[in-house]
Amino acid sequence: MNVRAHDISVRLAGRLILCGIDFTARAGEVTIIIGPNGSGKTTLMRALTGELACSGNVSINGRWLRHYRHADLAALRAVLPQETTLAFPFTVREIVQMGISSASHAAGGRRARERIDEALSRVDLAGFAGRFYQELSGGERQRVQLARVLCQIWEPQIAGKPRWLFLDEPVSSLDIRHQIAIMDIARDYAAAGGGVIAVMHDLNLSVMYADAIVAISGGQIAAAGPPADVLTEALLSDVFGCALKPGQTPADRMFVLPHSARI
Amino acid sequence: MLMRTATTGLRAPLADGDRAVLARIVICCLAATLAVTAILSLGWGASDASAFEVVMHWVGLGDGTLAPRDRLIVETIRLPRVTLGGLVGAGLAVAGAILQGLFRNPLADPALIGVTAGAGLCAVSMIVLGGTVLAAVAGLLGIYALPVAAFIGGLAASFALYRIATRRGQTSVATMLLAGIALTAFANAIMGVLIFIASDAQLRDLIFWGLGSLAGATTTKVMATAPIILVSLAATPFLARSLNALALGEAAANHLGIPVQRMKSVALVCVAALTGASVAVSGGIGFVGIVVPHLLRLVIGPDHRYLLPASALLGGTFLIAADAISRTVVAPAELPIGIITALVGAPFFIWVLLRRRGLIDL
Repeated sequence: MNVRAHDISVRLAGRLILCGIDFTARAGEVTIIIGPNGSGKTTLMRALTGELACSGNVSINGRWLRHYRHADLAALRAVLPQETTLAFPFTVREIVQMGISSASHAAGGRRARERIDEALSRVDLAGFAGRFYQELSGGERQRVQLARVLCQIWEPQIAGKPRWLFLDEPVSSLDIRHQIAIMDIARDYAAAGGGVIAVMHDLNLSVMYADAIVAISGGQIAAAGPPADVLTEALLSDVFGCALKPGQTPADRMFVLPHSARI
Repeated sequence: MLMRTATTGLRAPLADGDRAVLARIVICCLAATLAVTAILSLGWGASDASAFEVVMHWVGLGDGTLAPRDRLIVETIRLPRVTLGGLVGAGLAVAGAILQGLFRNPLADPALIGVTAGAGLCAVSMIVLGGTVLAAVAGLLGIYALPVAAFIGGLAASFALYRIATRRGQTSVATMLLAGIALTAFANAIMGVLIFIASDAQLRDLIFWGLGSLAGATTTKVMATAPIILVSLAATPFLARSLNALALGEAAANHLGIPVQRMKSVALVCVAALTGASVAVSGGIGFVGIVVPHLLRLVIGPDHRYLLPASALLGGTFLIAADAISRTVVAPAELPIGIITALVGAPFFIWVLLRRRGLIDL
């Protein structure tokens, strides 16, 4: 059971953004996509979730993406967008509830309420249900959206088949404590049998949480595999266009390692 | 920062963010208000005919003293008018609420963005050309010719506007409003040509229609409009969840399992039908579609499962009340109802604009 991309190419406004991408993300693992700005990470994410028309094929759990009905796909995978703005004053509870009512097995009133409260406390927003989404900070909004996405595919497996969590830069607007908390949720989800595919900027967090890393550069896969194999000095320097030494402290520089954080 | 000041102030955080119970209570109250307003309005008019006795007669409790004149006035003059007011008000308010959800923007309104003008153009074409060029169509459709023509005009205008103002799921407010102005100007220009070639009798029809009034209400008009508006209103509950999801953006709605493209087409057809049928019988009555949903969002929130039915009820009440005022305030003459809705609606629109100045990107 996995998510596979077969020879994906995407052309936007005449420019080739992705070219012949092949990769596999396995259930039970956190797969993290890294790469410099403009390398095509987000485009790949949009192709994988079916948001963007692409040449080539994407399959989830052995079935082509285009063969799924809308509702079946929504019951199988959820997508956390980079940023969500609202035109209307929804409360936090109303936003999270959208994840529940879209699930094929719509939970009843009382159970739905409990599920929403549980999801909110999981993203460290217990007591925020009555707040207006538009009045929250960027990091809080991002976590509200994660709660909604979690509600959509709460159990990591359904009928023995893994469900999939797609996260587009899930921690970009969060403080360190919440970065760790959110990535823990992702890891737990994978550990319970689900699949997680995330686009990340933070290399340290990526090393900490990834079971597999896919490095993208110029619309092509530069390397894919376990973090230790992918994040070599040569590859990082090549992909990001600057000298990077994994696992070495730069001289005379102060730095903060997320590895040391515990909550 | 602007965003915060724009949205706070009016509302304190809610206990647990769940407004479903409140919304249901509000809807029940609105239904009661609509019924009371309708009955009061039946009894209110230039003549002193008593609606009470007529209503008692309908329900079989009359004491036999009902004057035939009263019955005639209430049943053939006021009843169609009140019914039509309720239908048109509900139609315009719900059309506004759907458009706002679709464009993800609380400033969308059928009259502001040219849907009303498109519907009006086709209605005028039907009035002027119904005896000549469009005679076959007019004959085929009978009493439905005018509402169907207005529906087609409204549909064409809404699709055109959507194509112009929306790119990759993002609607630009400025483009939307400016395109609406252009569409309205274009429709008005063609209407001018049609009026130029209209006969005297047609001209009278046109002026009457163009003022935006329920004065011409007859049972036939009610019969021609009611099916279209009621069927469209019955379809809107199926749009509610999709419109909620659409508030998160088109991509997110898709990921939530909403067939967005199909749903948008259905929504636009509903808007065109509601607006077209309303315009056909009442001319251009503006601002109902902005004022009603906006007020309701302040009270029960933006959840379309409650916003749409509540808009229908409050829209109907609003127009019935406005019509009652329009036919009594300068009695025995009548003020066109469009004037009253504009007097209320235009300042309201400015207020909404000012409140949201920090939120919208004009």
